[in-house]
Amino acid sequence: MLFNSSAFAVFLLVVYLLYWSVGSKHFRLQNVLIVIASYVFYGWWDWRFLGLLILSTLLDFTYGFWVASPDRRKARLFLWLSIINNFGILALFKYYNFFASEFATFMASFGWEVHPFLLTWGLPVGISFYTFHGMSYVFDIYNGRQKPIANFIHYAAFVCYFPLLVAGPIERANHLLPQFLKPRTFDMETAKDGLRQMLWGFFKKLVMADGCAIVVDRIFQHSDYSELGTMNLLFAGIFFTFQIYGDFSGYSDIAMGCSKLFGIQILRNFNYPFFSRNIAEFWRRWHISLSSWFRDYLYIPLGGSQKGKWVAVRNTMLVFFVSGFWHGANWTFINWGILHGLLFVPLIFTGANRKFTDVADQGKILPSIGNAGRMLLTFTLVMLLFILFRAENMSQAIDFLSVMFTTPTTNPGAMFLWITSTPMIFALVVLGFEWAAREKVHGLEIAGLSAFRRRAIYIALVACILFFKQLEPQEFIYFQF
Amino acid sequence: MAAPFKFLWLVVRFFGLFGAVFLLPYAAIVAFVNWKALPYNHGNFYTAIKYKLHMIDTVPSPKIVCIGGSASAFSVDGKQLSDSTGLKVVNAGMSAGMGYRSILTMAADRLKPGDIAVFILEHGFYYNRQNQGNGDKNFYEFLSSNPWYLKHVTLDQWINLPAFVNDVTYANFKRWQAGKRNQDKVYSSKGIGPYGDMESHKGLKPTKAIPSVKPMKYRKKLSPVFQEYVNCVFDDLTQRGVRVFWGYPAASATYAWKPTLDATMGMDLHAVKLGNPHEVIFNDTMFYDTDYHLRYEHREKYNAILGHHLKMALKANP
Repeated sequence: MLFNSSAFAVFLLVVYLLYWSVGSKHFRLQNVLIVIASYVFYGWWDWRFLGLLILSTLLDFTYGFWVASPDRRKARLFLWLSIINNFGILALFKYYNFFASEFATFMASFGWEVHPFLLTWGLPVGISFYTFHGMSYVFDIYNGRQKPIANFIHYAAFVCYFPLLVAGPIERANHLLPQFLKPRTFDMETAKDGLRQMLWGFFKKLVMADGCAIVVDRIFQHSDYSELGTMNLLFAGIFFTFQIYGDFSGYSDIAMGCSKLFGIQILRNFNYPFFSRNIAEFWRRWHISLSSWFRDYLYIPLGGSQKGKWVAVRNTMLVFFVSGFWHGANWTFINWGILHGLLFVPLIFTGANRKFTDVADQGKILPSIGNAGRMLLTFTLVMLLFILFRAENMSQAIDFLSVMFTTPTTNPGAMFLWITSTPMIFALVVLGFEWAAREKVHGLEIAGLSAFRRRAIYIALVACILFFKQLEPQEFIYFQF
Repeated sequence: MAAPFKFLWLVVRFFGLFGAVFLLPYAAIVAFVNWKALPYNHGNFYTAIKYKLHMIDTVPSPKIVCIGGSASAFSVDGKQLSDSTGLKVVNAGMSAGMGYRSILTMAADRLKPGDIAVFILEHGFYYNRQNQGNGDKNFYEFLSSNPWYLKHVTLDQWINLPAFVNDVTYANFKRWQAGKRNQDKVYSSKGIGPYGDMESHKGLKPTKAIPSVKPMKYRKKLSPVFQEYVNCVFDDLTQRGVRVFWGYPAASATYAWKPTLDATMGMDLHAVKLGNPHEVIFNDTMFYDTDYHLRYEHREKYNAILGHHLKMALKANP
């Protein structure tokens, strides 16, 4: 079920009414309701993969008890079994075809024709997200940050909680799980803020991201990039950067806002990444739940930055490689991750990776010239690498980038047309709102404004959604991961 | 009232406010502009569609009704099909921009027991993420010509309606301002032949080079929604005593891409398939202004293939 579908509107209303009708005293019953609702939400997309979700949940629930064993050898053994199980599921459903095809290509280079068996059942939506939820539970128990949960329903509610089931944020057991073990209270101000955040998320997804998607799809699908020239390709890159941000951060805002309606706080996934002053800061602000997951469960266990700079470099490159691979079984994602790692490494040597940890130009209306330049440079680097992310394969990405840097546009007016295009105007509106709200959690945190101004903003946003959204509901990009 | 329900009431009140201060005046403007621009003149494309729907209603059964977008309208030769099968033919090809749901429901609702429905829908409909064909845009425009057709609007189309009100109203505003409304002669109802074929292309040269057409290479994943939807319609028609056949549209060689065509053959449809899509891929020069519109003088080859398969299928499914 897509957040941006009419079915979800009805679903959310029904679940909301049932959830609060049960009352917070009966939070166990509320958890049962969440599990049922989440399975309906997931099964709506493809009920055949529900079995996989339940199996994955059961496995990690069981491993939780074994990993909690006081015998550390036994605990470590079950931890590895859990890792093998989880990665086994991911490997089979997400990566098998990639490795089989790569194997065939490799063998073909020696003149041997191999026809590996390929799986045709498709990729279960959100598999990387719920698998990582389960793994965080097992890791946290192993590290003593979490105790195993005796009640399966409470655990299942944590793993399959519908707002974040298919595209995150990737939750931590020690953050979300405790909230399912106690009564949730309804707070009017939190619910209002949740609805505002949902509205902001819908605006970013339906107006900004889907509007940019039309331009991006047309340009990326063009059969001959040399006909388009530098300017058009450059703007396709810029629009895709806005698209993926609007799409993914919009989803995260909807998920967070929706969760607030149920009295549950989930992790923040984005912190205005386009206002980052270098790549390191960008990664502290982009897909935070994934970056911090890898930091806590991969980077730090490998020694982090405590064992010298070269170990830090190795660990950083490994994290970026795995992060790229997490996104999908395609060289485009892997190279995207590696290149981000290569941009990050110089910052480790210069010590600039922890330089910008504050909010840029706090309290000022406009950024300083220096910061504006740094933000623009970071955005440009991120945008160029996102071309790899968007391309279907490396040859398309290379073709796109080589034409972009070598074929001057034949139409000098193109730049003006792009800057004044509707998707660009909406992207600038989003950036403007978010710059003003950069010290807050989301772009529409406007409780301090007068009721008249607030309502005017709500009406403007709802009207934009109604009149500028695309007719066919567009899937969220991160569903494929 | 408990706080969660009080909150819900606040949300409902907000949308009430939204309706009052914004939607009502807006609806008044929309109604006024569209009222000034209507009715369409005789040469309008939508008039042609109404005429075709009227033909389905009035041509006696049993008859063959070809249902689809402009690929059917411009490529099917009703007379040739009629000659090869010995049955009356209505070419009810409309516009892919109407969206397949609107095309199917409007045409299928009118079929009678004994009729033979031949669905010739554009390839663009078969796939997810297609960038043409099922946007429903023309359907909303069509609705503005006769609100009676609102009865064909599905629930999600109702929800999407506001997104196209602007476009439709603006188009009608331009017609009103120009004082000539829509005079697109290509789609003129004057160009409709006795079988519903669009004949305006007769003798004309292509208006643009067909190589500008994008190959359908990017289309990879068959849309399960499309298959489910058409199968529901097909099941309903079969129950009502209508025989259902599935034809493939003629398409230009530049546009066609073998793996995509192969994938279309794998569709699980509750209709008798007429041949395969590879048979009806022709040289680009045989097309008029898009990859789907056969030039009038080149329709014979396509209709010979379609007619042959239909004749055989009718024999096998009496």
